[in-house]
Amino acid sequence: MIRNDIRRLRFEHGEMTQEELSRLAGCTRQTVIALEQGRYVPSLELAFRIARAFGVSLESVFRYEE
Amino acid sequence: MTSLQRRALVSLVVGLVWTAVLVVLFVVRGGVERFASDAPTRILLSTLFVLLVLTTGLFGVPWKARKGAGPDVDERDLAALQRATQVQLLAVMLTLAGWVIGLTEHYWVDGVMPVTWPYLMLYSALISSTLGQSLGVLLGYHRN
Repeated sequence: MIRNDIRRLRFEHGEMTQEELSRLAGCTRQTVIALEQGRYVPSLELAFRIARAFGVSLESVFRYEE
Repeated sequence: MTSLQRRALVSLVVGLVWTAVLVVLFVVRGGVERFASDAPTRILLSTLFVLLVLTTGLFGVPWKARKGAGPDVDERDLAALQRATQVQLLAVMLTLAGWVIGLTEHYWVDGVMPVTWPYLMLYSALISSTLGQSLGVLLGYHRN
């Protein structure tokens, strides 16, 4: 299962809004919501764009759990 | 709820209501025999059918979304759209299977069937296709 820390990272980045993140990552706000709720696993490309939006590595946002 | 989900939901509800109206009209106006013999009935029902397919099929899922363009469409929407085609195909296959088995069994002894039936098969298959597409989009998001 792939989990993510998007919610925490948004909080740590000046309480970035979901709308802002979606704009930076090039997806819809609904997708950000689905990601935060663990209802959607993004493509590798979107995962990289989200990590870049936060200015961190991919592993800092997403982690694989058995 | 995404823009695509909203459109699919509206399209599904409108399509179901319209289909019910079409079926009721078809039965009230005399069913298959009247459809085959009365041109105005055939034109009326055909017009309603075309409008149904146009409204639910074309406007239910925007063409831009199919191409992945537009501000409200991203990879999650496209994934849902792709899954929708599986539901669409299944809906059409089940509809056709139902018609073919039903008609074949019914007209088995006669060996021939009235020419009206293929028309109705086409109508129902296209309706199933458009409704299946909307349903598929809605189901597609839940499987993400």
